[in-house]
Amino acid sequence: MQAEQVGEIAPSVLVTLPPGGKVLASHELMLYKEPSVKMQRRTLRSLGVGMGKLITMGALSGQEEAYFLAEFEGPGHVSFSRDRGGEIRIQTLAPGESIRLKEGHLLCFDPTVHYDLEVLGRFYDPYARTGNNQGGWIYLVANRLTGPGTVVYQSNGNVLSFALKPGEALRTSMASLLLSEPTVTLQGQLLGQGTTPLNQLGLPVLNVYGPGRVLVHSGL
Amino acid sequence: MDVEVKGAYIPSALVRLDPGEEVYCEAGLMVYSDPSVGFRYRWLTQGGLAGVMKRSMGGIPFHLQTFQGPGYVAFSRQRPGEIRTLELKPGETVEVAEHSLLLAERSVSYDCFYVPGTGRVGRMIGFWMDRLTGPGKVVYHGHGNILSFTLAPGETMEMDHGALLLKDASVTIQAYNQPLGGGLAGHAMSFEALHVSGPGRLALQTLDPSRDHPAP
Repeated sequence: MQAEQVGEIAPSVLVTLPPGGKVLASHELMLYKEPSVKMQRRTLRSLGVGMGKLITMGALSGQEEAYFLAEFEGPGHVSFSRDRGGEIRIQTLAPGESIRLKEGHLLCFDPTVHYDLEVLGRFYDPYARTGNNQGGWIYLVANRLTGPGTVVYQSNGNVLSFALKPGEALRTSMASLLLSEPTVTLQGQLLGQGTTPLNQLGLPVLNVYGPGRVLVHSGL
Repeated sequence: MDVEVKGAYIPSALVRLDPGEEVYCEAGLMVYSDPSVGFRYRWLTQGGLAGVMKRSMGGIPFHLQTFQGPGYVAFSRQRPGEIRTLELKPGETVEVAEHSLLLAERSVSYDCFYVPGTGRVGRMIGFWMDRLTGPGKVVYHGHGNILSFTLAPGETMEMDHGALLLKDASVTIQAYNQPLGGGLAGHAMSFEALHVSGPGRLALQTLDPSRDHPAP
C-alpha cells in the first residue's frame, strides 16, 4: 500500500491500493472510500489474537480494542482518521522488526504485518481511576506489530523522538509513552513520595531504559 | 463586508461591517465585537410549530443571531479546524452540515432541512443541514482539516456521515448500511455511511463534530 498524510490539524491518512492490494483497519476509522474499494470482515483471531486474550487485555487496561476489523481491498483510495489532533507516522517495518505501540493509536496496517497485544507492565498510579475510584495498579497494553510491512499510527499532540543508548534512561509520565522498541525496558516509580498528607502520594512516572527507539507524545 | 481569518489551530473569523451591513450566525459563536455593532434575534419560523419541534429534537436552535455594522465582530466555533469563505452568486445554493456554518451575509437566504438516516433500530436517525442561497458571503468552519473534491456527473463516494461538511445542492446524499463483510454476520455488524453522488463540489472534514474530542 501507499500511504500519505493529509492535513495537519486533525490529520487523515490517504491510502492508495493497487488492484488486489489490501489494508487492515477498524471500520470506525474510515473517513471515506471510493466505491471500487471492497470491505471484508476480519477478526483478531484470524490475526492470531483470540477472544480470551482480547478480553483479558481489555479488562487489564480498561480500554476496548475492536475484535472485528475491516479489510479494504483495492483498487482505489481509502482514507482513515482518528478524529483528533496529532501527528501521523507512516513506518515501514523490515522483516522481523517489531514496535510496541500504545493501544488506541493504530490507524491501519498491511496484512503482512503480524499483530499481537502485549502487556508492557503493571505500574502503581495513586491518581489512577480504578474500580473503587482510588489509586491503584494500571496496566499498559500495547499493539505489538512485527514486519514486514507498513504501519500507520497517530499520536495525541506532537511526537518527540528519542534514540536511547544501552542503559540510557528517559523519564516520562504514565500516559506519554507512545511507542517503544522491544529492546526498551520500563520501570515505574513514585517521585517525591513522603509521609506527610501533602506528599504521601508522590508523582507516578515511567523510567524508560535503552537501547532502542522511543516516541513520546505531548497530548493525553 | 470584509472577512479575515485569525489563528490557525482554533481559528476565528473577524468580520468588518460597514454601516447597515448585517451578518447572522447560530447562537454562541460571537467571540468579541465592537460596541458599535447592533444585535438582534432572528426567529426561525419555517414549518410552524411542527418545524420548531422537529428542529428542537435535532438540536437545531430556534433562532439566529444577527449583528449589524458599523464595526467589527469575531466568530469562532471554538474547535480545532479551518475556516473558509464562499461567495455565492444570485440563486446559487450550498448545503452545510449542522454545527459547521459560522456566519452568512444578510442577503443570503437561510433554510435547514433534515437528511433521513437508515431507520434501523438503534442506529443513525439522520442529521440536519443548513441550506444557503446567494447572493452573498458564507463563512463556514470545517472541524479538523477540510478535504475538497469536485465530483463529475454520476461520480460517487462513500463516507462516514460525520465527515460531510459542505456540498452543492446538485450533489445528492443518501444514508445506507455498509455491511462489514459478507453473510448474516456482516449485515448484523453493518454501520451507517453516506453514499454521495455528483455532479458538484463536495467538502469533507476530518473531525466528526458529534464526537467528543480530547484536547490534542
